[in-house]
Amino acid sequence: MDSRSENPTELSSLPDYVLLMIIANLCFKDALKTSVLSKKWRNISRRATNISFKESECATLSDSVNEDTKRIAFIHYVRDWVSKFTGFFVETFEFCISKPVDIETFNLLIEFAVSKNVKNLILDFADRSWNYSDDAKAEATSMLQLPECFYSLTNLESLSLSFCGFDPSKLVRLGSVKSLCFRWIQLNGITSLLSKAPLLQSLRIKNCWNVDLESITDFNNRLTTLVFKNNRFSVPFSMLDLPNIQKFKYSGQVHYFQFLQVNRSLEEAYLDFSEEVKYDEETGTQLCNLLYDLLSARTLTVCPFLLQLIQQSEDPIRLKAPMETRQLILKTSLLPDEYIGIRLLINSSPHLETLSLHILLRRPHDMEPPSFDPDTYWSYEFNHKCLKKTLKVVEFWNFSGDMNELYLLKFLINYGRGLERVDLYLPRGVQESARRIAHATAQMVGTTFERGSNRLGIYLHNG
Amino acid sequence: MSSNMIMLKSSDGASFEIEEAAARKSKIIANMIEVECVDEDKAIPLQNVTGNILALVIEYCNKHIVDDDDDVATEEASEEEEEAKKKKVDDWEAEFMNSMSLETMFELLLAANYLNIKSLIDLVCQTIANNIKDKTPEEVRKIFSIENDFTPEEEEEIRKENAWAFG
Repeated sequence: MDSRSENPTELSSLPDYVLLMIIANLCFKDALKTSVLSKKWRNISRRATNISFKESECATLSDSVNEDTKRIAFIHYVRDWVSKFTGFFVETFEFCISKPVDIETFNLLIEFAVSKNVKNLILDFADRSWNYSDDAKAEATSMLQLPECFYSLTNLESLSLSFCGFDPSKLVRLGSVKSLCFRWIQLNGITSLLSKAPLLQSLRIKNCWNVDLESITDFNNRLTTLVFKNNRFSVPFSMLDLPNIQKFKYSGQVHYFQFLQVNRSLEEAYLDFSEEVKYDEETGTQLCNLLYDLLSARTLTVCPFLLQLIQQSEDPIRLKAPMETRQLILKTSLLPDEYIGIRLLINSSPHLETLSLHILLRRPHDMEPPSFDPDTYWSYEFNHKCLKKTLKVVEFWNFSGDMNELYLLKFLINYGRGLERVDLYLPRGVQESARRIAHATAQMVGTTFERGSNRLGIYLHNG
Repeated sequence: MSSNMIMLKSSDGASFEIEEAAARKSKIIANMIEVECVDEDKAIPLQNVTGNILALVIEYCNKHIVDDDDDVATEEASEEEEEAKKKKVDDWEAEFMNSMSLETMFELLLAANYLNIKSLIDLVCQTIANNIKDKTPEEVRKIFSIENDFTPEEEEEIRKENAWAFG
């Protein structure tokens, strides 16, 4: 067979711990599949250190059985696998299943993870049909509570809990935690929890209620990622000291943040208040102050609610200081009551390079009709610095070619002196007739709109 | 070159000169330097690494020491520059791994493990794992010449037991 005197090194001849390192680079399912290669590999796979059981991934099991049978079979499989595990430690233990399992299985799995000194623990029992935190709150009595042994974990680096209750006051050994994620739970005690996690880099809170985040202090100055989505806060405001933040994402109702420090080179800020329905005369100024606090963001995303309301701020022309935004993403319905807000943001971004408009089909809240003529609003030249110099790319997503889109497009093409590309993207799955109209309109834009830049190319893409 | 040079000697007697900064990528060599058991005139003997593999390890370390220096020099580098640089390293690593046979990869992994060079271990493990994922067991056995020592019944049993993964 092999003519060489020395045996070539074969995969199976590598020491077991090296093989374990290799399968740690596979997703868990692929790691499990190696069990069928040979006896040696079956033994190796029983020591896999990155364990991940997701019910959603077992959908490919025979379709003839009903959901309940599948679920029971899945739980049985997980318990069986865990009981045959022969390793001494696990890096990651992930268990995701829609709705809570029985308490015996739950305790057994947590005890397993704790006994193997798990570093990354991900538990998800949320019902996938839920939309709002109230949906979970209504079912809160069925929520599983983490057993006592969980609180003895000392090596946790990341913890993600979804519809899985715990007592924040008992969770004290967070010295090595870098990432925390909470979803679909009541979250009171979060401020004190943060005061025990000096190495925290990422905090995500989604669909939680009673969130009593009073502050994030300089103690957590390694925090780089902060994400809030559709939470119910139990405090009127949160004080944030974020000297090293890179990504700040907020969606949900308007919550008041008071910033002490924000990283001067913030990569991304994302603000979506489409869940909000209430506002008063203060809201516009409050939102402008929020933009002012986040002005170092290189990429900024905003929503129609913000665009509608910032025009009611003290100065509807520009923010207190210019923003450093390079890419501005406007989620907008492009209705006249958003125009002033759009102009305010363009005017306040002197370094803007890319302007992306994501046209939403959903109408925002009705506000007072504007006092100007929307048909001529975009026909006057304004002295926006970025239009003269830095703006190179304009993107229109969900471009349908209606008049409001054309007014703004014409304005940008007319006055964008450094513009290099305009990309128009059709909505996905659009009907043939609508596609033809958009094509014809794009053609018209390309041939008849007077261009402020001689380097400009205009492109139409299918969604 | 201001940096100190040190000598490494492979199991088959080949000697290699390498910058100390590059050699420090290996935790083992770094420790030896720390405790000063490195004699300036004498080569460090590496009994578990052959010359052709050691040459690859040194190529990797030299490449990555340059990158580390760059990091220090251009702390203020823009995002695009950072990205471009990362892509350059990624491309180099892909090319580096592409150029060798699986057998060489295994030997390189053993050497990286012996010398304790974390980033090289990760790179080789990931490359080998990429050769396994999305492939059928039959294909994996073929690529890595793994002998199937199960009876067809046993194999069927394991597949059934792990239907969740094989689905």
